[in-house]
Amino acid sequence: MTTTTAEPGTVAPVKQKNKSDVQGSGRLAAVLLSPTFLVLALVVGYPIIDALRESMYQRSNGLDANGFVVKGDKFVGLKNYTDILTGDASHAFWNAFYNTTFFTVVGVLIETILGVAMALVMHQAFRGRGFVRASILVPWAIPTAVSALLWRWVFQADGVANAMIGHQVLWTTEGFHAKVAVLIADTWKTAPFVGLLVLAGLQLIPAEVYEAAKVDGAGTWYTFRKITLPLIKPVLLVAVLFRLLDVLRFFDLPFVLIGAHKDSVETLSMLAYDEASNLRYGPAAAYATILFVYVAVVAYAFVKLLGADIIGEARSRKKTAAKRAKKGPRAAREATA
Amino acid sequence: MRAPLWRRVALNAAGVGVFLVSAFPVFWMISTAFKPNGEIFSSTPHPLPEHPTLRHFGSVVDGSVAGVSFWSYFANSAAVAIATVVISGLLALLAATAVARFRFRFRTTFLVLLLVVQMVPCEALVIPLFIDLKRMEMLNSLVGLIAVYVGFALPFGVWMLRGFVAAVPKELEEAAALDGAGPLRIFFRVLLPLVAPGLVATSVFSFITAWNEFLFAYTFLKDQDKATLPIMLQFFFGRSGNDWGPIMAASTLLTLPVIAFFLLVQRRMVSGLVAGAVKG
Repeated sequence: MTTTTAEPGTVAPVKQKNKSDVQGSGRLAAVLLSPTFLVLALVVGYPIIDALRESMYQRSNGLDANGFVVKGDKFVGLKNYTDILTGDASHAFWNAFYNTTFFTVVGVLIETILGVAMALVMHQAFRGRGFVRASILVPWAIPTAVSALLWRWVFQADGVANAMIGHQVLWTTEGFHAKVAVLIADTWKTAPFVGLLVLAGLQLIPAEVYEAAKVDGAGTWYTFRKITLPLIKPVLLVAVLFRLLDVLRFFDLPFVLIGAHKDSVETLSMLAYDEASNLRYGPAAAYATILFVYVAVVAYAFVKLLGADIIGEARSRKKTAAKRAKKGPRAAREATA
Repeated sequence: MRAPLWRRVALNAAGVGVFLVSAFPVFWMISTAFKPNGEIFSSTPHPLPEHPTLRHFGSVVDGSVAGVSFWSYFANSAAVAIATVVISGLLALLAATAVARFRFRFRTTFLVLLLVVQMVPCEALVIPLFIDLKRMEMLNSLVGLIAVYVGFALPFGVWMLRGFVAAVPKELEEAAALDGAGPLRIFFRVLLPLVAPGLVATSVFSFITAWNEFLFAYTFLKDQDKATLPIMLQFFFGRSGNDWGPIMAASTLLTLPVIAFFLLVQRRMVSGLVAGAVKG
């Protein structure tokens, strides 16, 4: 592996350490990374290449132009892709594309706000905190198939949801309310995930910072905006990023809660699964590839717009470490400024 | 110093609210698991079973519905989940240490690569992985499944732990080195305790992923005695309508270990571990 050689250029802005140390650490880094790299290459890398190849083929079991029986897969180039984007299936595709985007934008926004709120509550000292902390993760711990069933019960015609709003809404039928039902169930399930990660981040903030802010007379909202938020930002961005990637591949919740072939909630993953379960591997792989490209573009945009320092922060570790070590006084200064 | 009264009241109210919203559907699940059939389908449902019964749990555990005893599924699930947590935790910590502590070429590339892995739709990988595992004759084995789960748990683990490793001041390690501690000792005695909260967070994540995963398990494991718990759940659906009693009993049994695992490790997430070590 080429990672063994350290590049002096990338080191320069960080520190002026001796060169042999850098080279030695490069080798050690490669040793530390290789198991992860190996597993990922086997479990993800190789199958992806397989799937890409598959997306260029179509299963043909019919007769060819001369009346001969053709068996096996036929190379069709990009036809699977053009069929999806412009052919008869394009309506289903663009609808699923819209649904996926809708679930992602609205869902992640709500989950992030609720997740941070949950983490802040769980971080406070109050009686029964451990109990609440454990209970908050119950929704996340429950298998999606089970939670989707639970929500189907809540949203059934004479269920709890209708009793609470005093209306008769057929939640699990086509329409915007089906989207709402999916969003509620998804938020219930995954906001705790964001909450847990943010809580772990909150626990890394030394109490002195808050004490200093309090002494300086900073209010609750001000403290949150100027101290808590910047300090949990790295953890929060990672949590949101992973939620984004997850919800773009949304599959089992709408599948179990509302069902397959429902225009209101059909996502790109569901289309890919549907093709695969009908043994049309080529189109299935093409759907998956398109979805993958979409996810990659969103992730890239997210990292570029918000998380430029997701990687940048790691690049200047020395600075960060120093900042963290001196976090107390600096943050206090910020709070007073 | 005590917080003002209104604050304590608000916090407790928020805590109770969060608790109710998260726990109610689960409460209903457990309650239904104990209800006899007549009460489950009653048009005026009561929150608690009036005549609690263990019949549904009995039919789940003795395997009269699923064919194989519950404990067989349970053992498989436990083996898969624990192996995934341990292996992915260890590998992720190693990789996170490399990424957070050392400068090397392709470091950023590696981090981006991990994100890319997280973007791949699982549905796209099921078929190629099925074919690969078949070729390696690991199709019906838990080892193959564990390898897949470890692969999916790793990107998140590395990304999460990276921040925690970076937060440990290098001065601590240098001080330990000055005191004559070797790299292994530094790793286990200095780094490991300080990144414990992060490790707990990632292991909760990987445990739940492995414990609940359905699609891969369903595709790869063909023998009933190899199958994991989420697959068992499937046996209670269909044919003659959904049998809600056993479904809820099975769901309860499936959920309890996860909650137990979380209760077990959450104490390790105590605040101030790092703050305490870095004071001064």
